[in-house]
Amino acid sequence: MTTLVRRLPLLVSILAVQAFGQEQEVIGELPPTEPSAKLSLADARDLTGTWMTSYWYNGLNMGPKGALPEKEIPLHGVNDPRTPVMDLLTPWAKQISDKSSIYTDPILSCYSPGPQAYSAPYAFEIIPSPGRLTILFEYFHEVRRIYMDGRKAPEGNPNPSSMGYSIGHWEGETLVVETNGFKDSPIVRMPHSEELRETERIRRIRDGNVLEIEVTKVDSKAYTQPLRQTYYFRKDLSLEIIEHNCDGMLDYTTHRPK
Amino acid sequence: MIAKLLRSGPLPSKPRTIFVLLLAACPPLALAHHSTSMFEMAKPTTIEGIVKNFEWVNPHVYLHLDVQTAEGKLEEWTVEIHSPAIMLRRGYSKDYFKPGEKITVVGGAIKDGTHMMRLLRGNKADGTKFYGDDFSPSATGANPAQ
Repeated sequence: MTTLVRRLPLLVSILAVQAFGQEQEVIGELPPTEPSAKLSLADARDLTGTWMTSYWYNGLNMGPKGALPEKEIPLHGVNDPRTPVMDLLTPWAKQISDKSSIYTDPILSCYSPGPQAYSAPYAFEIIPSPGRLTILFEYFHEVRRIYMDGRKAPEGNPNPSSMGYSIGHWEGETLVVETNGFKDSPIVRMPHSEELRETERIRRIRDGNVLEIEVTKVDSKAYTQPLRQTYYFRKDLSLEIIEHNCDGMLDYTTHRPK
Repeated sequence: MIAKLLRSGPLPSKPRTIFVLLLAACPPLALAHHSTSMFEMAKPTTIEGIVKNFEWVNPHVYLHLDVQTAEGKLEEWTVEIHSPAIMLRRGYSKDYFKPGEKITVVGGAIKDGTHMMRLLRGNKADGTKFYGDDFSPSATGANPAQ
């Protein structure tokens, strides 16, 4: 059923993301699922490299787009894509979201972006090793360790964390990553709770230099239905990851109106 | 010498009528650091000022400008731009703005009335253009001539 819904062309009203100071119009309809890149299975499962968000090229005009899809698929309700996502927040999440402002934005105080790490115009590096994939994010130096050795995630969320606890396995050419163990997000526009469970389906598409990451979020405390978003990334061998720390950062509270 | 603060109306830009109206009502979902909804990006303000200092820090770099208003009052404005990583990739360096130099900036002033803005674009005294949240195809970096 889920797949069927995903494949249906949906004439939704224009959704949008406002990112990096510019509006970016996104979709009138959800595109059909693309085939994976034509690679050997071993190559399809090799995600090694530095990957930069498609928004860098598509939205910000910062380099050749290569084989990237023109647009990402914005966050939407899996069951009801026509409803604006802000209307899919529970009252608990809405009261957090409503307090969001420049003076309460945790990112401006250099809190971890948590599961929103994909949403910024930065690169990440995927490093495979036996039984594990490690993702090094440029954004706030975040790290994810995706365990591929058959272990199970701890039960009961004993150590809530920003990036969660990730277990991965391969389904053909698709890496499926299940993540839980998150902590509640601080005051953000799209909050989540400790109940958040994310499923990522990650694969190489088009010419193999495009990474598709479809993220499905289930969090009954924060969302009234599962939410989904699809990101694209371009392999960019010319990119070097740049340090990102907040030493000497501006104290926004000093600018709060008196 | 301190330049005068000039407030201008919206700069000429391509009308995106329906899109813009709808977008204004939409949440910022793919945030890059933070929403710019608290800034008047659609009604830019133009400021001439003298660079006080240029803070090359995460999560955003800041220009601090001394600005003299039309009434002769001195104001300090804080101009938010990108992170150092994005700045580097757009051709900036930590020394791009030097204390004492006169510049003109165009940006979205913060809606709460404090002296802060988010940079769209600007120019140095010699006419050199630089860019912030203006990501139009011609706005390729700090100095398109590079």
